[in-house]
Amino acid sequence: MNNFIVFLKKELKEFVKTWKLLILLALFIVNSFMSPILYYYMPKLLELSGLPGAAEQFDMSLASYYTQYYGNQFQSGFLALIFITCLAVVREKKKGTAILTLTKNISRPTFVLAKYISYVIWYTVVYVVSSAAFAAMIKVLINESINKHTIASFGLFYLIGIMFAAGAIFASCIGKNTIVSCLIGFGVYIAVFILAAIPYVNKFTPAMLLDNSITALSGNYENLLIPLLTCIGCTVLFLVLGIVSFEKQEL
Amino acid sequence: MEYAIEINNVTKKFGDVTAVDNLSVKLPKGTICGFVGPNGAGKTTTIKMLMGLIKPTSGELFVNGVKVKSGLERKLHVGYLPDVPGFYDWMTAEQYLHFCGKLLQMDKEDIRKRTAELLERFGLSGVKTKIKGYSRGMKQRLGIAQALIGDPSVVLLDEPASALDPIGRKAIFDLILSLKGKVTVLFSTHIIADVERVCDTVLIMDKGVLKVNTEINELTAKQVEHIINMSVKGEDESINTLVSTLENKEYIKSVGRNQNGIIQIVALDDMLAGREIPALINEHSLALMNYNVQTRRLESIFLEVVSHE
Repeated sequence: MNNFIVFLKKELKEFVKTWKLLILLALFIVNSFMSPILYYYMPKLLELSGLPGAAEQFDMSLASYYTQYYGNQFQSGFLALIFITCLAVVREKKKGTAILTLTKNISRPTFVLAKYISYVIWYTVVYVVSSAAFAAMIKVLINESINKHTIASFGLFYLIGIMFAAGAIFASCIGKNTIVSCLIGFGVYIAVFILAAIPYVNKFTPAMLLDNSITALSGNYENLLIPLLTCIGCTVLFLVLGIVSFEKQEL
Repeated sequence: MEYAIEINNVTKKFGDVTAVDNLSVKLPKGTICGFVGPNGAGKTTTIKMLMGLIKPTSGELFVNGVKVKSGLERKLHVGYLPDVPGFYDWMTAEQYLHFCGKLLQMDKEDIRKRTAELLERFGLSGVKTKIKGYSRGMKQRLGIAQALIGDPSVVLLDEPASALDPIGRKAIFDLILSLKGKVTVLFSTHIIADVERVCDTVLIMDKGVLKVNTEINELTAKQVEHIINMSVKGEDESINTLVSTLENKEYIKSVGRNQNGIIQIVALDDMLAGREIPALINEHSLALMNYNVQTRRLESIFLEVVSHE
């Protein structure tokens, strides 16, 4: 059996055996349920609190629900994804498991790539489950069904997570210990956040995909190409840099 | 001659610290080599360089004729046990060995057979506990088993006997002995007796410098010394005269007398000493009460080599 597949299978089994990614699943699912429910009941809560006119200012469109949901996933779900993925390589280096594995006919690029793919597979499972839960909540709350535009929207937002996972793998490869790796991973997250806030520059950043995933809901796919390409480019770049640095490291 | 391990003028520096200084070693195939030295001597660094896990500052290393390069550790066909082996502790020993076998692309039947054989040999057969529940000794035994799973032609073991009880140690060194002539084994250790028992060659290193690189037989034959501890009864003046007489004998390297009155002699020829010393004692009107000879073995040589000014 191919070494990549052997190691990938080990990684996927480890997720189940060590329960280490259940926290990610829990966080994404909680957001899927809580985000639309809170948004749905917020005007009523504001009414009850006696704030005059506050409830009317709430935009109860489908796009607003998604904006709220994506915002929550971006702020908590992706952050959890980054911190968990940041431990992927560095923990193996610290524990000494990487050394024994790497002396068994598996190359360092294969090792890193299999790690990345395993985290992507798990993230994909978590993302699909949580997106389905969110879509179900939307159907129940405002009777909006899923369609090709919502699927495209989910797909665009998903890509940001893929990029963050690559950034976290990069951080995990270059970090000497778990704290350093997590700080570098957090740095990647903050950099994307800051770039998204800079006018003109933000059009060229992967963070723009967040806006694109909202506009996609109404079938508007303008200005998609550049953020899409930068997102894919950053993903590849992070992986290449991670692999190159790991190859040069003394273990 | 093709060597299993060839180290040519290798130096490794960590900042200002020279961990290994201009090391050159050649080990023919099938050699069992003990790598001895105090902590910080450079043994682990050397072994890691041989595995391609650490890059030398200068010099070259070859394993089975293949030049060792960082990141190419997988190509060397070397079994390796690090000083502190780390495992996926959610696995059992059997699962871990299966995983290693699969990574080494062994076929299923080979993996099954070899795993069963190694588990049996290292007393881990039938242990269903996950690795996280293992003692240090059990982990060490599993570490050696994983180093041997792929039937490597070269095995590098960093402190294989550490954390092991006498039975575990015996199992490991019996196994190493059984590999003699077939597999090249380089292992580091602090236990000199183990080196004497199983090795053909010994490397003694201190502060990054290789002090001794020789065959065990040669080393003990060349530098053999005998420590004679004896006690005599008689007048003190006569004993002092005897000590002075002994100091001038060619076959005696040194003579000393401790606080308990025991005379300690380092002799180069135990046979001659055994014949002449009792006669001298008699000549000095003294009575020999006790006479004990110990042949100086590798441990003493090691201590002498690594003793610092």
